[in-house]
Formats: sequence, C-alpha cells, structure tokens
Amino acid sequence: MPGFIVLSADEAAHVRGPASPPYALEPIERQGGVFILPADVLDHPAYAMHAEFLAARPQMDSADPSFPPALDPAED
Amino acid sequence: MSSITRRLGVMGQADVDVLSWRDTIVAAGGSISIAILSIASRFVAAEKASGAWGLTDDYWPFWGENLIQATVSLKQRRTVTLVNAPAFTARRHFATNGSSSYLDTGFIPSTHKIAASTHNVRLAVYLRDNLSSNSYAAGASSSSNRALRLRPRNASVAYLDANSSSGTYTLPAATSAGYTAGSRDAALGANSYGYKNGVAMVQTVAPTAFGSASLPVVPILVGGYNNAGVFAGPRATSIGFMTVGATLSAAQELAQYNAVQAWATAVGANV
Repeated sequence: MPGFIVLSADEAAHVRGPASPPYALEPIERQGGVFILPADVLDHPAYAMHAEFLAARPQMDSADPSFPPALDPAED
Repeated sequence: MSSITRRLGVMGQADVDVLSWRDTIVAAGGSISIAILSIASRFVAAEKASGAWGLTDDYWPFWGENLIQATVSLKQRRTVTLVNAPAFTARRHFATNGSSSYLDTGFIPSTHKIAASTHNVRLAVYLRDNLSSNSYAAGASSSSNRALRLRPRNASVAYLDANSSSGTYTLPAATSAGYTAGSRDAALGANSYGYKNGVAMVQTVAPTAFGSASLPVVPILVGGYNNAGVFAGPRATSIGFMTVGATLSAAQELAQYNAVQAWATAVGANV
C-alpha cells in the first residue's frame, strides 16, 4: 500500500505552493487536523527543494488502522 | 515558417490551431514530433468537420509524448499544474493515487467558458483503467447543484453531474475504461445526457436540481474534483484525455469518440 508523509498544519503551510514547474505541493487535510503527502514526492526531482524537510517528517502506510481518515467521504 | 510547418503544409496536414498549440509547447520548453502534429491535425480536422470543435471549449491530451506537451491544453493552451506528484507515462496517461495526487487544469468553467453556458455544458474523460469506485475522475463544484463532474463507474452505473445534481446512467459494459461524457442543454432531467464511447447510455435516475447562478467558479481538477477550493472525491485512475464545452449532438458524440479513439490508437493509448 502507498506510503504517506504526515504533516502538521504549520508543516503543511511550509511546503505548500509551486515547485519546479509544472509541479506543485498541496498537502491534503485529513481528520484530526493533520495533512498528508504521497511519499513519492521524496524522490521526485521537482520537489527537491523540500526533500530534506519532508524526509524528516513521520510516514504512515494507508493500510495502517490509525491512518487518518479523509475529511469528506465520496458523495452519493 | 519552420521546416516542420513547411513539411506539414506540403502534406496538407497542418492545422492552424495545432500549430498554435505546438508554439505554446515549444515556448514552455517542450517539443512535439511531426507524427504528433499530424495526428493532432487529423483530430482537429475531424472535430471541425463534425462541428464539435466550435462547441468544445478546451481539450487536454494527457497522452503527450513528453511532460510539457501533456500539460498544455489543445485549444485554450492552458498549462496544467501537477499537484503532489501524479505519475506521467509518455504516450499513455497521468495516473493519480486516489488520495492525494491530482491535476489542476486552471480551467474555471464560469469564466473560461466560450461555448458552454450555465444550462448547456459537457465534460468528458478518456480513462485507461477499470475501477469500480464512488469517486471522481474529474470535476469542479461550487455548491451542491453547481457541479460539473464525472464518476465514471460505481458497480454498473456512472454518475454524471452537468452543472446539476447527479444523473445516473447504466454503463453498456461494467467498466470505467473508455470515453465517458456527461452533458445537458436545458434545466431538465430529460435534457441531461450520458455517453459511453460515443453511444448514449440509458438514464436510470434523472438529475432533479440544476445550477442556475453560473457554472462552477473554481478550476476543474483531475483525479478527484474541486469542492469549492478543496480537493475531494479522489480516484486512483489513469486518464489520457479530457474535454469540456457545450453539449454535443448524438452524431457529434460519436464523431468525437471516433476522433479521440483514433488519436489514442495512434499513440498506443487506446483501450
């Protein structure tokens, strides 16, 4: 299952925004006030400017029972 | 005049709109082969012949030869932003992960529309994967009824919102793969349409509420939808192509599917 970097609101604000064009980072808010990014960004050259900062943040697997749920389940 | 333009001109295949697309790609640091110029020119010629070109506000050929080419829209020549590392495969698609990666087209329906209008709008996507999930391939929503978005397959149906509440349509085969379009040309359930690979789908539940103030005022996202500025309804999907504009006739739907499938086949992305 895919791995994710877990960020606080302040950490999310630190990395949010344009990266190397045409890429950008926009951490996704989850329940509990935490934010996630796919771990894929760690090895992506477009996000190299944030690699060291993001590598120091905790990671979780989406299959982990404690993985923070989405804010909005898909609507009917 | 460049050598490519001269060669295509001699071949009678250079379309002026495709050359403008090429110029935008090159200016952004990308490139485009003569083969793709020819394929895209045939596509645009087919669209113009059917009348669909004038009714379609923009096209996104995500199956580009390279990243820059795949991120420049064909008609309005807008640049897509790739958010949280969606995976690009040349000549195939962008793949989103169903949780955090998506594409931001920058296309705001209410302000970037030309042919579309509040009560005449259409969104279509060409997906290369089959996933049954109550999630969104693409879309934008400003309120519960000002929603332009597609859920291409949940079990045996598709949910299509054409600046309206959801209409439910029975898929001819239980797959999300292929070309799915949702549209409407009046504020009536009977004037709401769903097409799969150019063929009308049976509407099983008609939309009952219709956006009347405007089209959505936020950009269309891909791999989920834009819920008033927040990424929502994420879908793990592989998307090769997308269009937005006004409603097409049944004949234009089929003609556009044939043209899209021809482009897909030419680059090896057909499903």
